[in-house]
Amino acid sequence: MLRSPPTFRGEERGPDVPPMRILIAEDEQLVTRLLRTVLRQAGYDVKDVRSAAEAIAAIREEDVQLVLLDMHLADGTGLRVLEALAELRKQLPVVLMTGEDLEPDDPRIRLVSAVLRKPFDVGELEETVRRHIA
Amino acid sequence: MDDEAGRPSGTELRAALLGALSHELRTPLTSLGMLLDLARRQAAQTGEARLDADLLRVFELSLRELQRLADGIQEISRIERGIWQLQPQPAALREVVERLRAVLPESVQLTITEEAPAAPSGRWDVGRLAEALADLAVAANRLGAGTGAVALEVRPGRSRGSVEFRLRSGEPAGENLPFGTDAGFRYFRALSVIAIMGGTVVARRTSGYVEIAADIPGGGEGT
Repeated sequence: MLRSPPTFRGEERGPDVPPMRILIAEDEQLVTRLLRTVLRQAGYDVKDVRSAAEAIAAIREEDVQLVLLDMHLADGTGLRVLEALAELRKQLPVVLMTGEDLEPDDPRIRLVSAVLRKPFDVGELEETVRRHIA
Repeated sequence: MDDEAGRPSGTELRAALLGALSHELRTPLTSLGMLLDLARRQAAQTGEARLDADLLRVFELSLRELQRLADGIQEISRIERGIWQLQPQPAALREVVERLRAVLPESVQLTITEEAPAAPSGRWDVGRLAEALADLAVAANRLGAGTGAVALEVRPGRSRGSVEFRLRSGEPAGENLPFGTDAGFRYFRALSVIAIMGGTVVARRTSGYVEIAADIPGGGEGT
Protein backbone atom coordinates (compact mmCIF):
# COMPACT_ATOMS: atom_id res chain seq x y z
CA MET A 1 0.00 0.00 0.00
CA LEU A 2 1.31 3.45 -0.95
CA ARG A 3 1.86 5.69 2.01
CA SER A 4 2.87 9.31 2.21
CA PRO A 5 6.14 10.24 3.92
CA PRO A 6 5.90 10.62 7.68
CA THR A 7 4.93 14.01 9.04
CA PHE A 8 4.98 15.25 12.61
CA ARG A 9 1.39 14.26 13.26
CA GLY A 10 -0.51 11.52 11.54
CA GLU A 11 -3.57 13.69 10.77
CA GLU A 12 -1.48 16.01 8.59
CA ARG A 13 -1.03 13.32 5.95
CA GLY A 14 -4.06 14.25 3.88
CA PRO A 15 -7.58 12.83 3.59
CA ASP A 16 -6.91 10.18 0.92
CA VAL A 17 -3.96 8.48 2.54
CA PRO A 18 -4.69 5.79 5.12
CA PRO A 19 -3.11 6.49 8.49
CA MET A 20 0.08 4.70 9.34
CA ARG A 21 -0.41 1.71 11.56
CA ILE A 22 1.40 1.16 14.84
CA LEU A 23 1.46 -2.11 16.74
CA ILE A 24 1.62 -1.77 20.54
CA ALA A 25 2.92 -4.91 22.27
CA GLU A 26 2.49 -4.25 25.98
CA ASP A 27 1.01 -6.38 28.77
CA GLU A 28 0.17 -3.47 31.09
CA GLN A 29 -3.35 -2.51 30.10
CA LEU A 30 -3.14 0.96 31.65
CA VAL A 31 -0.09 1.92 29.63
CA THR A 32 -1.68 0.48 26.49
CA ARG A 33 -4.82 2.55 27.02
CA LEU A 34 -2.77 5.73 27.25
CA LEU A 35 -0.52 4.92 24.30
CA ARG A 36 -3.62 4.22 22.23
CA THR A 37 -5.18 7.54 23.22
CA VAL A 38 -2.05 9.56 22.46
CA LEU A 39 -1.27 7.85 19.16
CA ARG A 40 -4.86 8.03 17.90
CA GLN A 41 -4.97 11.72 18.78
CA ALA A 42 -1.80 12.08 16.71
CA GLY A 43 -3.60 10.48 13.75
CA TYR A 44 -2.14 7.00 13.75
CA ASP A 45 -4.05 3.76 13.41
CA VAL A 46 -3.29 1.54 16.40
CA LYS A 47 -3.46 -2.17 17.10
CA ASP A 48 -2.56 -3.51 20.50
CA VAL A 49 -1.57 -6.97 21.72
CA ARG A 50 -0.51 -8.37 25.09
CA SER A 51 1.65 -11.35 24.19
CA ALA A 52 4.70 -12.17 22.09
CA ALA A 53 2.70 -14.75 20.10
CA GLU A 54 0.03 -12.16 19.21
CA ALA A 55 2.70 -9.63 18.31
CA ILE A 56 4.49 -12.06 15.99
CA ALA A 57 1.18 -13.00 14.33
CA ALA A 58 0.28 -9.33 13.82
CA ILE A 59 3.69 -8.54 12.31
CA ARG A 60 3.36 -11.53 10.00
CA GLU A 61 -0.21 -10.90 8.89
CA GLU A 62 -0.84 -7.18 9.10
CA ASP A 63 0.46 -4.02 7.51
CA VAL A 64 2.12 -2.25 10.41
CA GLN A 65 4.75 0.45 10.00
CA LEU A 66 6.19 0.55 13.51
CA VAL A 67 6.18 -1.59 16.65
CA LEU A 68 6.13 -0.16 20.17
CA LEU A 69 7.45 -3.09 22.16
CA ASP A 70 7.57 -3.65 25.91
CA MET A 71 10.19 -6.09 27.18
CA HIS A 72 7.68 -7.81 29.48
CA LEU A 73 4.85 -9.49 27.64
CA ALA A 74 2.13 -11.79 28.91
CA ASP A 75 3.72 -14.96 27.53
CA GLY A 76 7.39 -14.17 27.77
CA THR A 77 9.85 -11.49 26.88
CA GLY A 78 9.89 -8.98 24.05
CA LEU A 79 13.17 -10.57 23.02
CA ARG A 80 11.13 -13.35 21.38
CA VAL A 81 9.46 -10.73 19.20
CA LEU A 82 12.79 -9.14 18.29
CA GLU A 83 14.21 -12.52 17.28
CA ALA A 84 11.15 -13.26 15.13
CA LEU A 85 11.33 -9.80 13.57
CA ALA A 86 14.90 -10.40 12.47
CA GLU A 87 13.54 -13.24 10.31
CA LEU A 88 10.16 -11.81 9.29
CA ARG A 89 10.62 -8.09 8.68
CA LYS A 90 14.12 -6.95 9.42
CA GLN A 91 13.49 -3.36 8.28
CA LEU A 92 10.40 -2.78 10.44
CA PRO A 93 11.25 -0.08 12.99
CA VAL A 94 10.89 -1.13 16.62
CA VAL A 95 10.81 1.22 19.59
CA LEU A 96 11.57 -0.62 22.81
CA MET A 97 9.78 0.62 25.94
CA THR A 98 11.44 -0.44 29.15
CA GLY A 99 11.89 0.43 32.78
CA GLU A 100 15.01 -1.70 32.92
CA ASP A 101 18.43 -0.23 33.47
CA LEU A 102 19.90 -1.37 30.14
CA GLU A 103 23.67 -1.27 29.72
CA PRO A 104 24.85 0.52 26.54
CA ASP A 105 26.21 -2.77 25.18
CA ASP A 106 22.99 -4.70 25.87
CA PRO A 107 22.39 -6.84 22.75
CA ARG A 108 18.71 -5.87 22.70
CA ILE A 109 19.64 -2.27 21.91
CA ARG A 110 21.25 -3.36 18.64
CA LEU A 111 17.99 -5.02 17.58
CA VAL A 112 15.80 -1.91 17.89
CA SER A 113 15.54 1.52 16.29
CA ALA A 114 15.14 3.43 19.57
CA VAL A 115 14.65 2.92 23.30
CA LEU A 116 12.01 4.80 25.28
CA ARG A 117 12.96 4.54 28.91
CA LYS A 118 10.04 4.61 31.33
CA PRO A 119 8.83 7.00 32.54
CA PHE A 120 8.59 8.89 29.24
CA ASP A 121 6.25 11.72 28.38
CA VAL A 122 3.82 12.30 25.52
CA GLY A 123 6.25 14.57 23.66
CA GLU A 124 9.05 11.99 23.77
CA LEU A 125 6.67 9.30 22.55
CA GLU A 126 5.36 11.36 19.63
CA GLU A 127 8.81 12.56 18.62
CA THR A 128 10.32 9.04 18.74
CA VAL A 129 7.47 7.57 16.70
CA ARG A 130 7.64 10.40 14.16
CA ARG A 131 11.37 9.97 13.74
CA HIS A 132 11.30 6.22 13.18
CA ILE A 133 8.01 5.37 11.48
CA ALA A 134 8.47 4.36 7.87
CA MET B 1 23.32 -18.17 42.71
CA ASP B 2 23.28 -21.61 44.22
CA ASP B 3 22.79 -23.30 40.84
CA GLU B 4 22.01 -26.72 42.18
CA ALA B 5 19.20 -25.56 44.39
CA GLY B 6 18.12 -22.63 42.19
CA ARG B 7 18.23 -20.30 45.19
CA PRO B 8 19.66 -16.76 44.94
CA SER B 9 22.18 -15.51 47.51
CA GLY B 10 21.17 -12.68 49.85
CA THR B 11 23.08 -10.11 47.80
CA GLU B 12 21.59 -11.34 44.54
CA LEU B 13 18.15 -11.30 46.08
CA ARG B 14 18.55 -7.70 47.25
CA ALA B 15 19.90 -6.54 43.88
CA ALA B 16 17.08 -8.29 42.01
CA LEU B 17 14.47 -6.91 44.40
CA LEU B 18 15.72 -3.33 43.96
CA GLY B 19 15.92 -3.79 40.18
CA ALA B 20 12.37 -5.15 40.03
CA LEU B 21 11.13 -2.34 42.26
CA SER B 22 12.72 0.36 40.12
CA HIS B 23 11.26 -1.25 37.01
CA GLU B 24 7.75 -1.54 38.45
CA LEU B 25 7.69 2.01 39.80
CA ARG B 26 8.33 3.29 36.29
CA THR B 27 5.15 1.83 34.81
CA PRO B 28 2.60 3.76 36.94
CA LEU B 29 4.89 6.81 36.78
CA THR B 30 4.71 6.63 32.97
CA SER B 31 0.90 6.47 33.11
CA LEU B 32 0.59 9.39 35.53
CA GLY B 33 3.07 11.51 33.59
CA MET B 34 1.25 10.92 30.31
CA LEU B 35 -2.10 11.73 31.91
CA LEU B 36 -0.66 15.00 33.15
CA ASP B 37 0.66 15.80 29.66
CA LEU B 38 -2.74 15.08 28.09
CA ALA B 39 -4.50 17.26 30.66
CA ARG B 40 -1.99 20.09 30.16
CA ARG B 41 -2.53 19.99 26.40
CA GLN B 42 -6.26 20.12 26.80
CA ALA B 43 -5.97 23.01 29.25
CA ALA B 44 -3.72 24.87 26.80
CA GLN B 45 -6.29 24.43 24.02
CA THR B 46 -9.55 24.96 25.88
CA GLY B 47 -8.60 26.65 29.15
CA GLU B 48 -9.64 23.64 31.20
CA ALA B 49 -8.73 19.97 31.45
CA ARG B 50 -11.10 17.07 31.80
CA LEU B 51 -10.25 13.40 31.94
CA ASP B 52 -12.94 11.03 30.69
CA ALA B 53 -13.99 8.08 32.85
CA ASP B 54 -11.59 5.73 31.09
CA LEU B 55 -8.55 7.90 31.77
CA LEU B 56 -9.69 8.62 35.33
CA ARG B 57 -9.69 4.87 35.87
CA VAL B 58 -6.08 4.76 34.60
CA PHE B 59 -5.24 7.49 37.12
CA GLU B 60 -6.89 5.58 39.97
CA LEU B 61 -5.28 2.25 39.13
CA SER B 62 -1.84 3.82 38.73
CA LEU B 63 -2.10 5.40 42.17
CA ARG B 64 -3.27 2.07 43.58
CA GLU B 65 -0.25 0.35 42.03
CA LEU B 66 2.10 2.89 43.63
CA GLN B 67 0.37 2.31 46.97
CA ARG B 68 0.84 -1.45 46.60
CA LEU B 69 4.54 -1.00 45.91
CA ALA B 70 4.92 1.39 48.88
CA ASP B 71 3.21 -1.17 51.16
CA GLY B 72 5.53 -3.88 49.86
CA ILE B 73 8.63 -1.78 50.54
CA GLN B 74 7.43 -1.06 54.06
CA GLU B 75 6.84 -4.75 54.66
CA ILE B 76 10.35 -5.67 53.53
CA SER B 77 11.77 -2.88 55.69
CA ARG B 78 9.91 -4.33 58.67
CA ILE B 79 11.20 -7.81 57.91
CA GLU B 80 14.78 -6.54 57.71
CA ARG B 81 14.45 -4.61 60.97
CA GLY B 82 13.10 -7.70 62.67
CA ILE B 83 9.83 -6.07 63.70
CA TRP B 84 7.59 -8.04 61.40
CA GLN B 85 5.45 -10.36 63.47
CA LEU B 86 4.11 -13.62 62.22
CA GLN B 87 0.99 -14.89 63.91
CA PRO B 88 1.04 -18.65 63.45
CA GLN B 89 -2.14 -20.46 64.45
CA PRO B 90 -3.13 -24.10 64.09
CA ALA B 91 -4.69 -24.35 60.67
CA ALA B 92 -5.72 -26.98 58.16
CA LEU B 93 -3.89 -27.05 54.87
CA ARG B 94 -7.23 -26.58 53.18
CA GLU B 95 -7.58 -23.16 54.87
CA VAL B 96 -4.27 -22.05 53.37
CA VAL B 97 -5.38 -23.12 49.91
CA GLU B 98 -8.79 -21.47 50.29
CA ARG B 99 -7.19 -18.21 51.42
CA LEU B 100 -4.72 -18.43 48.55
CA ARG B 101 -7.59 -18.67 46.09
CA ALA B 102 -9.29 -15.70 47.76
CA VAL B 103 -6.28 -13.39 47.48
CA LEU B 104 -5.24 -14.32 43.94
CA PRO B 105 -5.87 -11.60 41.37
CA GLU B 106 -8.61 -12.34 38.84
CA SER B 107 -6.01 -12.75 36.11
CA VAL B 108 -4.69 -15.99 37.62
CA GLN B 109 -6.68 -19.21 38.04
CA LEU B 110 -5.33 -22.00 40.18
CA THR B 111 -5.75 -25.67 39.34
CA ILE B 112 -4.89 -28.03 42.15
CA THR B 113 -3.34 -31.12 40.65
CA GLU B 114 -2.31 -32.83 43.87
CA GLU B 115 -3.04 -32.26 47.53
CA ALA B 116 -0.89 -33.75 50.30
CA PRO B 117 -2.84 -36.21 52.40
CA ALA B 118 0.11 -36.64 54.75
CA ALA B 119 0.29 -33.05 55.90
CA PRO B 120 -3.25 -31.90 56.55
CA SER B 121 -2.45 -29.23 59.13
CA GLY B 122 0.24 -27.15 60.77
CA ARG B 123 0.86 -23.85 62.54
CA TRP B 124 0.91 -21.09 59.98
CA ASP B 125 0.20 -17.40 59.64
CA VAL B 126 -2.42 -18.31 57.08
CA GLY B 127 -2.98 -14.78 55.74
CA ARG B 128 0.67 -14.01 55.11
CA LEU B 129 1.48 -17.44 53.78
CA ALA B 130 -1.45 -17.23 51.35
CA GLU B 131 -0.34 -13.76 50.18
CA ALA B 132 3.22 -14.97 49.61
CA LEU B 133 1.99 -18.00 47.65
CA ALA B 134 -0.31 -15.75 45.61
CA ASP B 135 2.72 -13.59 44.74
CA LEU B 136 4.57 -16.71 43.60
CA ALA B 137 1.56 -17.77 41.51
CA VAL B 138 1.45 -14.35 39.83
CA ALA B 139 5.18 -14.63 39.07
CA ALA B 140 4.69 -18.18 37.74
CA ASN B 141 2.02 -16.94 35.35
CA ARG B 142 4.04 -13.92 34.33
CA LEU B 143 7.20 -15.88 33.54
CA GLY B 144 5.51 -19.06 32.36
CA ALA B 145 2.86 -19.51 29.70
CA GLY B 146 1.06 -16.26 30.59
CA THR B 147 -2.33 -17.91 30.04
CA GLY B 148 -3.59 -17.23 33.57
CA ALA B 149 -3.68 -20.96 34.39
CA VAL B 150 -1.30 -22.01 37.15
CA ALA B 151 -1.13 -25.57 38.48
CA LEU B 152 -0.58 -26.14 42.19
CA GLU B 153 0.66 -29.32 43.83
CA VAL B 154 0.65 -29.51 47.61
CA ARG B 155 2.70 -32.34 49.00
CA PRO B 156 4.87 -33.28 51.96
CA GLY B 157 8.05 -31.22 52.07
CA ARG B 158 11.65 -32.29 52.46
CA SER B 159 11.81 -31.94 56.23
CA ARG B 160 9.50 -33.48 58.78
CA GLY B 161 6.19 -31.67 59.02
CA SER B 162 6.95 -29.27 56.20
CA VAL B 163 4.70 -28.80 53.20
CA GLU B 164 5.75 -28.10 49.64
CA PHE B 165 3.64 -25.84 47.45
CA ARG B 166 4.72 -26.39 43.85
CA LEU B 167 3.42 -23.92 41.27
CA ARG B 168 3.78 -24.53 37.53
CA SER B 169 2.92 -22.67 34.36
CA GLY B 170 3.59 -23.84 30.80
CA GLU B 171 5.60 -26.76 29.51
CA PRO B 172 9.38 -27.05 29.99
CA ALA B 173 11.37 -26.40 26.82
CA GLY B 174 15.01 -25.63 26.19
CA GLU B 175 17.68 -24.32 28.49
CA ASN B 176 17.22 -22.88 31.96
CA LEU B 177 16.82 -19.09 32.01
CA PRO B 178 17.62 -16.67 34.83
CA PHE B 179 14.77 -15.00 36.70
CA GLY B 180 16.36 -11.54 36.87
CA THR B 181 14.01 -8.65 37.51
CA ASP B 182 11.40 -10.23 35.19
CA ALA B 183 9.86 -12.06 38.12
CA GLY B 184 8.60 -8.80 39.57
CA PHE B 185 8.76 -7.13 42.95
CA ARG B 186 6.02 -9.32 44.42
CA TYR B 187 8.09 -12.43 43.74
CA PHE B 188 11.08 -11.10 45.64
CA ARG B 189 8.86 -9.89 48.48
CA ALA B 190 7.40 -13.41 48.72
CA LEU B 191 10.92 -14.88 48.98
CA SER B 192 11.62 -12.56 51.93
CA VAL B 193 8.36 -13.49 53.64
CA ILE B 194 8.89 -17.23 53.14
CA ALA B 195 12.49 -16.95 54.40
CA ILE B 196 11.27 -15.34 57.62
CA MET B 197 8.85 -18.27 58.00
CA GLY B 198 11.88 -20.57 57.86
CA GLY B 199 10.91 -21.80 54.42
CA THR B 200 12.84 -22.07 51.16
CA VAL B 201 11.96 -21.46 47.54
CA VAL B 202 13.50 -23.31 44.60
CA ALA B 203 12.63 -22.12 41.12
CA ARG B 204 13.31 -23.09 37.52
CA ARG B 205 12.49 -21.23 34.34
CA THR B 206 12.81 -22.16 30.68
CA SER B 207 11.23 -20.47 27.68
CA GLY B 208 7.49 -20.25 28.44
CA TYR B 209 7.76 -22.42 31.54
CA VAL B 210 8.21 -21.81 35.25
CA GLU B 211 8.21 -24.08 38.25
CA ILE B 212 8.38 -22.57 41.75
CA ALA B 213 8.50 -24.85 44.80
CA ALA B 214 8.08 -23.31 48.25
CA ASP B 215 8.92 -25.61 51.15
CA ILE B 216 7.22 -24.27 54.29
CA PRO B 217 7.78 -25.65 57.81
CA GLY B 218 4.59 -26.78 59.48
CA GLY B 219 5.59 -25.62 62.97
CA GLY B 220 5.10 -21.86 62.64
CA GLU B 221 8.77 -20.87 62.74
CA GLY B 222 9.85 -17.27 62.46
CA THR B 223 8.96 -14.20 64.46
